[in-house]
Amino acid sequence: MPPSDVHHEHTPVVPIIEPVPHISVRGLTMAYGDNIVMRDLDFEIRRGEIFVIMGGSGCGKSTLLRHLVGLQQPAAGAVFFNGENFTAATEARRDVMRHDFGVMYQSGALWTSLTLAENVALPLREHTQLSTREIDEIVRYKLALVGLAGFEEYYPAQISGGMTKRASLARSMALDPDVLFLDEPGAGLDPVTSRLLDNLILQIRDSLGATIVVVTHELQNIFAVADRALFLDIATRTIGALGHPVELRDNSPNPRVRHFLSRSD
Amino acid sequence: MSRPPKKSGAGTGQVGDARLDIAENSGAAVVRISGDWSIHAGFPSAAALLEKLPNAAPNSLVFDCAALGNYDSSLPSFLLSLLRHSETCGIVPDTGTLPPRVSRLLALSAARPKSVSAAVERIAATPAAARAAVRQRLVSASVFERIGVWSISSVRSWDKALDFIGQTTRALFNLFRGRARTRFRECWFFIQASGADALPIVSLISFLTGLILAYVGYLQMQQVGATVYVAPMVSLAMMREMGVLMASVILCGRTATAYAAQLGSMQVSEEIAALRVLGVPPVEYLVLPRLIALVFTLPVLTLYADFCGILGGLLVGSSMGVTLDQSLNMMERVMTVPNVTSGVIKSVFFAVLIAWAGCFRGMVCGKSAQAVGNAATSAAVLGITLVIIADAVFAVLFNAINFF
Repeated sequence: MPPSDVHHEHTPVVPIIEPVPHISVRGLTMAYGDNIVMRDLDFEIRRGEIFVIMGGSGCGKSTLLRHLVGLQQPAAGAVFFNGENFTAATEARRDVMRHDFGVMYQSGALWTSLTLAENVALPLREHTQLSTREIDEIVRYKLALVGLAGFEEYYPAQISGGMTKRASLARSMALDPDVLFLDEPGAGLDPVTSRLLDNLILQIRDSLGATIVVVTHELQNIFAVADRALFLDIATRTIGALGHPVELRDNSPNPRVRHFLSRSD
Repeated sequence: MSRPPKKSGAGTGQVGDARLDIAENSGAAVVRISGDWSIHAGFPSAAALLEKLPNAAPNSLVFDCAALGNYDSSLPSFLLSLLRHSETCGIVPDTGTLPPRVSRLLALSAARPKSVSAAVERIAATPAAARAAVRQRLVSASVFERIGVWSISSVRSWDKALDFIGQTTRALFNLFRGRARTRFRECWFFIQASGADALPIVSLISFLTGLILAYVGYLQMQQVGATVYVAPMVSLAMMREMGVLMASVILCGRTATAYAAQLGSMQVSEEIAALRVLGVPPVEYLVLPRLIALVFTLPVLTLYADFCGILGGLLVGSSMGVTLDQSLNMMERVMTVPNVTSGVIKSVFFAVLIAWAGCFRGMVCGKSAQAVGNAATSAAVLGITLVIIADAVFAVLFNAINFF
């Protein structure tokens, strides 16, 4: 029998958020053909913070994340990592810069023909010179970190949705990335599992010091993890607000932001 | 909107236990709803009820539900339809006269969620060109428009195809330099799936092809008393054309579609995006093992198909009075190196085309279940088309260099 899920309890730690921008987005316009999704996005993500991108369904949150990791080219504007223009970089240079990224996809996106251990090991095999033993030990540690010790030889089809998300998180952390991008981490999970994942995200930030960018529309996740949140306003097709979610809920001049965060009618 | 034709006097209607009466009272139409309303028993038509309105057109509609019995969703469904019809006739319904529970259900069905409102606003704000494109799909276009749309999509499709050819070529170049980031271990799996697992169907199809060719040939040869030539004729046809074609068509149907579906599903579940962000070229990691597997598999399957087809020909020959010795002696004459190898040489190229067609359709697949199905279908069509075109090119080429 596989071992039961491990519950993580988060002990609050004062996060180290440096006041320098880790990621800068300058004048970013996202479009599908002639249809502009968002225009003139300007914001910065500080090193070590948990930055939430939020907004209603279909506002372009996941599209923005795809632009941040270079899976889509912007119609205008650019994304900078540590001051270096990621958008204008060559594909080879981008590949090098992506070594500092970890991405957890909405669906998990685990490679179904590989076991969980092989999924987590693949980034290590591709981008390090570690021996098989070292990779194996790191893989076991990363899977244990997300409560999946003992599931190394399982295939993605054999585990639950919550475990898929955690395995995906383990894979995204394989190379100890500087930036973790999490696309809808709580989507499709029950409240308890979702809360466990929130705790896990906080622990990872506190222990690894990574900058974490979370895309979500779930208020529970937003209030649980966000140091700052960016609201994408579908009505104006640009940034609606930027700040701490509690502050935005109580004091934002934008009624749509207050409405979104208070979930009132 | 014009009002429905009016008839004089009050009207009534009854379906099952549900009963409706309509009458005019001081300029207002009074709808009396009574009895038990059930979706299993049916309910009256709102339009038919309005047609029973008295001559003097009422301005408002009030309800009398004093005798209303049990009801389910049939009543709100009827009322919603009645309200819509009455509004188009310029009659203002007074829903306050309905039982509170029914009023609440009607209010709920009339409310539009904010997300839906936003979607409607978004569609309204969509540029005219995009809306026109959507409309173009909905409204039947003229022949010229259809040709234009088809031409543009064909050009775009070619653009993607050329891009994929470029990526595949680069991946192959990296493979020959020993720098491809591929999983050679997976090749064995694909070799088994496309080769060993296909043996039964290849056996059957090729054997029957040889059998059919032999029957057709026998009927002709019999007329000139040359039935002994049936076996060499079948052997020649199988080795030069039919063996490789049959094996290729089977692989298009079995393997190219499987490749397209596998890669298409990976597109849907973002597995390919995950590889890309990891800096692993998807073409090297996913396409090369499949392509290598087919390059090994198809030549072997071709030789096997040749063998099965010849066997079918021999069987027909022996059943028609030609001895096995005679057939084998005649077959020796056509067992030349060019004849035996021409099918095998072609099979290597066909393997590349089939793998390419399957992988290409999978890699450019959309992100829905229907798109995966379409990718699999078009992979089979593209694969077979490419194989036939390539076979024609080889026929011309072999003729030009006298490879007989």
